[in-house]
Amino acid sequence: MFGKLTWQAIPWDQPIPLYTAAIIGLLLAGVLAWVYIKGFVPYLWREWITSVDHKRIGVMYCLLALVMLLRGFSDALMMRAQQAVAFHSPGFLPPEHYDQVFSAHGTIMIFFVAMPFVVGLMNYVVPLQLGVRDVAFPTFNSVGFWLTAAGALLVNVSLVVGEFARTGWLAFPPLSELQYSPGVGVDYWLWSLQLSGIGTLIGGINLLTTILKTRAPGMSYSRMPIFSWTALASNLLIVAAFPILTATLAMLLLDRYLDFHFFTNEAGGNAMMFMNLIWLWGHPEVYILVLPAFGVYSEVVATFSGKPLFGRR
Amino acid sequence: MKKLILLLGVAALIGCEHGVLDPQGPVAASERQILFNSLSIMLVIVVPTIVCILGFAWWYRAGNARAAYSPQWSYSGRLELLLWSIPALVVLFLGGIAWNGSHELDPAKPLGSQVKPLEVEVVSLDWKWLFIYPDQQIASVNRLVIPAGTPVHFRLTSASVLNVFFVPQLGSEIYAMYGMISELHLSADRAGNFHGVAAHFNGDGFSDMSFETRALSVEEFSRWVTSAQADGPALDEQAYRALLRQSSNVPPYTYRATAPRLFDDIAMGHLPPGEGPRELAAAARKEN
Repeated sequence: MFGKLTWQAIPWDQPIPLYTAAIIGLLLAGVLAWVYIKGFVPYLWREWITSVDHKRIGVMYCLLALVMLLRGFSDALMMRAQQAVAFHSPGFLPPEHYDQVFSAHGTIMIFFVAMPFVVGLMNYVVPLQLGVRDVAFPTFNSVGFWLTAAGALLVNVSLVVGEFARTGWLAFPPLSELQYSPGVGVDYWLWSLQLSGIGTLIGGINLLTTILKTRAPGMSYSRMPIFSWTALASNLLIVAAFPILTATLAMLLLDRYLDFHFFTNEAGGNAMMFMNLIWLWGHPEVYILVLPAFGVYSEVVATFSGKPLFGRR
Repeated sequence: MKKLILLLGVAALIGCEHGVLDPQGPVAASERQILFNSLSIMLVIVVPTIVCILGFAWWYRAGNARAAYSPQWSYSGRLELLLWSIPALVVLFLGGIAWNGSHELDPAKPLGSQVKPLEVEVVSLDWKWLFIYPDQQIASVNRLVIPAGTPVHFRLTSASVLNVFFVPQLGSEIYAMYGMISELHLSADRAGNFHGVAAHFNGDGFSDMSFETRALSVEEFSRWVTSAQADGPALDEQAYRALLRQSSNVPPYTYRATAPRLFDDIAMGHLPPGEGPRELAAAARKEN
């Protein structure tokens, strides 16, 4: 039933992930027990977990981002601690562990902290600004969130079952190919990003449709608040760029699972094609993240100055 | 307090020693100039903007009765012109500097020097650097020895994963890629030891994959070549296959002879790529 999965997959010899997992497991069990004893389960299930309300989903996106920020930040602390003590000495993290920490840090901070924060904020605010009751496809919205959450869960599972990628946050081939990374780390990376990437694409289609098609009567483009404008630009970029990410990761998956040679050293593979494709996604990604943040600045500064936004109309 | 500030200042400057801010060759010197030029051009925008933000926020605070309050004012054609034209000009200016610099410092372009360049072929391995001197028929691992004042023409490739060759004090870092050859021209002004690094993450041995660059006087260099030719193992195909095995922190050593056209055989894929992790390579051998 478990295939190649054996007890060997758990890093018994590494105290740091084991203790971390034990503490998280205890905390999680405690919270779940408390929720169960207090009788919150039906409420949580009905009002949050199965909710299709854009505000609740927005809040859950931000909560997910906060939880993952804790993980990404601990990784950062471990990296800095290692660098501080490892001058002319091996430090407390061997390379194979340190490389996982810094790969996980980059992946988590971009895909599971920054993205959920921005997507959550847009989810919460955009329908309110446009005078819409909910996003265009509310159930789809919930699917998008839970796909992202599943991706985040996978990253965290890799802490105790197997290992995470040791290839950096973008897993450049040929280092991420089977020949140089035979472990399950890159597979965790690939599947978690496939899931969350599809989740983000679903969210992008949803908000784009909401902004273009379902605005309240009288909410013309020239009246649309600046944050919704930045959300429009950001979601256009999501719809344009995330399919490229999905396709690129799919090609690396084919390389690793079905002996394809898109990016391998041998048999005519070309690793530079991965660079081109991944940055075709990566460059828009920067704007996907920063445009809504600029929108927030523009709204907040104008509002608290008690003035209309300069140069807007 | 004064001592603390001094200490912090010194700590901040420690990084500059042996780095890009202490160039030892013409390429690195030009690149530092570009760095300083772009930095000052950008500061022309950045500093006034920061000062204005703080100044405006202070002057137009709620409690300042003398500040004009015009809540409906939200458009000024003159300001728009100013706010868009200055950044546009700066982008043009910086773009021009980058354009000129990238053409002038094109890594593949020979340095304008009367001296005949030394040919060095660089192979990035897991996790060591192999420097082949095709004209001298010798090779060196993890130590690059060059004559000072002589331009060096590097041809680079990787025998395993993607990597970047970088000697900060000589300038211009460049990719080393499997199945591809990149070219780079560098020169050291005077004799000295410079730190060289692998500047692209390439696996578990990455942080230890540095090399020493030793620039010697021309006489000392020819003496080094003679002594290298007299001693050490030969770099034939078998020795090269041993290099393909992953290892890190390999102390520098030299090969007294190299197989002819070894570099081209590596770059053209006539020789197998790096093995990857040991367990996997062993399993593959068992299967065959």
